[in-house]
Amino acid sequence: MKNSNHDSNSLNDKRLRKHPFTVEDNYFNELTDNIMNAVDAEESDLKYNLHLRKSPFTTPNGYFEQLSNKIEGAIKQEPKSIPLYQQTWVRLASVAASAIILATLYFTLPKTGVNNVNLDGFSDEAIIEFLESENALVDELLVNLDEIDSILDVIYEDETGVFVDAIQENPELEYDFEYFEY
Amino acid sequence: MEDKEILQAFKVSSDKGFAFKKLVQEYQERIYWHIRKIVISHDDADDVVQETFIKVYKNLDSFREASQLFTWIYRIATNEALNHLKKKQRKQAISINDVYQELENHLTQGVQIDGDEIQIKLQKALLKLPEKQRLVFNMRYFDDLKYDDIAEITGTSVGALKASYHLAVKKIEEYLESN
Repeated sequence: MKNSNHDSNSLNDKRLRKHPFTVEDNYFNELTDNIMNAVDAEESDLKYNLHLRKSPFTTPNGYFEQLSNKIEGAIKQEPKSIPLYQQTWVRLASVAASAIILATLYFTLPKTGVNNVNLDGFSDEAIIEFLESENALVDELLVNLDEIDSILDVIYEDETGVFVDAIQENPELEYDFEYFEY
Repeated sequence: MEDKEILQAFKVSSDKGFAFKKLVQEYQERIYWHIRKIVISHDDADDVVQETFIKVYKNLDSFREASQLFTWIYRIATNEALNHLKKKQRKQAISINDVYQELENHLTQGVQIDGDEIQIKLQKALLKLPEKQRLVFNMRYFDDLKYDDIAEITGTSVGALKASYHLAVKKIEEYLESN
């Protein structure tokens, strides 16, 4: 009971009655025009002109009777397209290239694995210092990766900025850009 | 045969051919006329309608049924028809306005056209509209499609489509009155 009183008291706050939504300047002036245009278009003479609704285009006699057979024929003739990555020679070439790269790396990279190093002559401090310096190198590389990301972001913005500007200037274009996904 | 039955039958390899034929028979005329209104010439529409159904055939397995089958086919047909016009433009190295001028000439000189003066004039008025307005007008005025369906086909909001349609009507009326 106490809570509900509290709620209704809170809702009596006049500030709450003011909603937080806004519209662009002149929105309501334009809205009237838009509504009137919409009503005009719906009530337009065009809409009720049955003669105009008749398309002037014709087809040869019996066209639709033959069309499904024509489409069936076209599908049979269509060469079966295999994506590049599924083609045998591409797969074989990829395997061969990977094998060559792995073999090259195996024979050329210096063998510096921890297992092969004799640590007997090093103090604990020296080993810790060495490992910390290795970590510092990794951190530096990660920082560089962040920089590379930001450089890529700038390049991406440069390349797409033209489209974004074009869409802002002419919203019709947005349709062209997004239209071809299905 | 309902769309659902067609889709189910298409998944069974022995019924695939039969199901696809049913689909083509069900939709070929609507899709042809939709394409024809975009590319104007019968020969071009004949090519595009075949390309459209080849694409449908190739992609039907991956159709997720997130939209209705007919809006999905309409969408493919629309893309194919618009691409056809763009290819034409590239092939002839002309501007898109020149392509539309060619389409307009075809309306008066081409074959398989049998309309009276006012019907041809309406088609000419449509060729003056931006692509999107022309599409929306065709689908709403001639095909009587609902805005929701047109929104699925074009991937545009219903509000934007209504605005496009109203603009199109206004421009067409102006064109018809001034010419």
